[in-house]
Amino acid sequence: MKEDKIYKLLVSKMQEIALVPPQTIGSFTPLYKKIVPRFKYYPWKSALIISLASTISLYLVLGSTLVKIASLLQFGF
Amino acid sequence: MINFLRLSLLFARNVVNCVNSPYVTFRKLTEEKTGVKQTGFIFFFVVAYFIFVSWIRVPFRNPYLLTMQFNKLLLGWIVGFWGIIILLYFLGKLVSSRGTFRSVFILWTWSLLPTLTWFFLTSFLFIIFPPPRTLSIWGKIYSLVFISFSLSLLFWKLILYYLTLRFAFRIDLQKITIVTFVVIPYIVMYSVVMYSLGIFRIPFI
Repeated sequence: MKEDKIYKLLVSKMQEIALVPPQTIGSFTPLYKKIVPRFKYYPWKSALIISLASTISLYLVLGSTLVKIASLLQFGF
Repeated sequence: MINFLRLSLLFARNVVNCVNSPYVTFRKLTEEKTGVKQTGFIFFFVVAYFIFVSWIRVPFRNPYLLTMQFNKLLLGWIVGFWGIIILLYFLGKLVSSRGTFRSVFILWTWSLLPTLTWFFLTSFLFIIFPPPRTLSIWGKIYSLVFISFSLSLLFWKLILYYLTLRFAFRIDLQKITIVTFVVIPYIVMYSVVMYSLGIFRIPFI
């Protein structure tokens, strides 16, 4: 039985649940369960899309001020 | 030597996994026996960064000034690093009976990866393309790329911060939010002090 793949998968899942209790946030739980997997695996894909969209939106709102912010940040190290 | 190589490979694998699957990696890091030893590599990169940035910031290659700058940066970082770990530990203990100092220490140290990446890349870019940016098309494109990359790393940092609290204390989103509301004023205060002392313009946390 210990060689069984499904058994191994179940054991690893049980261990995961034993470490942290499943997250619930009331009526928002289905939405939470839908969004979170995107951040669990390859979150950089979502991060790139969100940050690019945010930067373009910021540029549309702030215009050339964004260039000044970038210059300030470059002095920030 | 073999142990060191093994540890280096383990560290490199965990770094890649922190990018691709931070949730699984942080869960494993709390259980891994070599977790504390692996943090040594992160501290090595932090010290290497401070040496590198002292060399950029100090205009004269004077050993005394370079050492002063390095000590200032290191001391400023140590205060912030341990301050946040101790604060997170006590706050975590207030909202949860589970969690150890060891797990907070390991996970918070690993969450320095996005910080290190941002500071190293920004310093390199400072040498290659020194600011200020102009309003030309290339200046605008560079600014958009730089802000996007900064936001992506901030996003990664926030994920690792969340996972630090989630796995160190096994707490849920509600409790993480409460802890965060207490931590934010401390971080703001630390940033203001570091800025006024001329140590960090952007806090190294």
